Amino acid sequence: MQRVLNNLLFIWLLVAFCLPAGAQEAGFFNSPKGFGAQYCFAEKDGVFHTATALVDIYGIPTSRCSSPGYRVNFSRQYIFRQVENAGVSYTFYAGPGISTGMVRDHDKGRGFDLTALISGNPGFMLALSGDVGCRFDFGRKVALDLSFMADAGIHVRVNEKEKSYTATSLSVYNNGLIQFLYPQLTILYKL
Amino acid sequence: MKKLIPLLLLVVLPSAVMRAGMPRISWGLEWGYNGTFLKSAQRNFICNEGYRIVENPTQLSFFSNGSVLANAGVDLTEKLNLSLYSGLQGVYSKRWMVPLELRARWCPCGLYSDGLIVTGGGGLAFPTAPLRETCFRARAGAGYRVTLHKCTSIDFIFSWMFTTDKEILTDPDTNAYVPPAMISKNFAEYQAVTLSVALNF
Repeated sequence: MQRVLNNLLFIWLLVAFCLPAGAQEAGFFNSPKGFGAQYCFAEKDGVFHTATALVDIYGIPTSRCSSPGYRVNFSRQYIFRQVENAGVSYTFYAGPGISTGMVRDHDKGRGFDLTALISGNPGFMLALSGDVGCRFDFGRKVALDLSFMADAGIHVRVNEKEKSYTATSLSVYNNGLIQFLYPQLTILYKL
Repeated sequence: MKKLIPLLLLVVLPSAVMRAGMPRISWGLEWGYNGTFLKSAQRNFICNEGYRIVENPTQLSFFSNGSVLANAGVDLTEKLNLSLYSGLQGVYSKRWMVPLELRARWCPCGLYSDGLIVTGGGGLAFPTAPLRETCFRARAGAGYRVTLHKCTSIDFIFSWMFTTDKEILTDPDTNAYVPPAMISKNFAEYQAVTLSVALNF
């Protein structure tokens, strides 16, 4: 069942990648959280929207699990300051959003723990997000965007101790809060 | 010969920099994905029972890893940059190393123009877990450079990477570690492809 859900989510992500209706910029999302695509929609009255779809690599760089998670985020961004200096335009923004996906959370080891394997229990995540960032526009086709995002939400998964009964566990999505400090760098291409 | 190479570098590099005029110091950050697809090993040791084991296995399997490297260097010419890289790089399953790599980057269109970039280099790698014996690595690749602003640019690079290593040998009968005195040969090498993004200043 989880595999089917995973595949459905993956197909959904593919659709999200291919149909950026009204997108003004498309970008390559890079972060220790994962890699993916980001679309920025046209700005109006100091407000713009971003849609991000990414492959969640939690546990993979440290060889603790082999399959990634998938997640998407949609945010409304409010521009609160714009500065231009030496030909570079800096746009500072912050805003709320919503995140969802099939990702891993909760395991015994943290950081560069190379011994504890993550049990195969990806779960459904639903969270309210908040992010703050800065866009660097160099007046060329390519721009950079540096941001930090926190996700406050829940993680629903199969209970590790009661697997035979397919019991579920519900908990706070810890990674969403811990990974606030992970920088997100997006290389944006103006369409 | 091993002592001569650093000496030659110390003599040749500064003179090349001086010839090039005002050298510009460059620095940057590179991160990316590594896919190790081939592991070859050469093992020759005497096990607990007294017989010798000689194996040369080649394992074709795929392991995903990541890398984060920082670099600092100089623009030797308008098209050539030489930088020292270090950071953290995964080379195999549960095998991470801290590389110290000298890498040349050549941009035929100029270092501060959009266009092709060819890169190659080599150096040492220090494993983060036993055995902590110094390893060697080399890489070669090519990609595309996008200039953002004056000296700020982004590289998208595809490269091939080669890393040597030593394995922790275990006795097939007792499962205990084989003591170094019983090992005649212990050598492993990994080959990987890497997809990386570099931000240069």
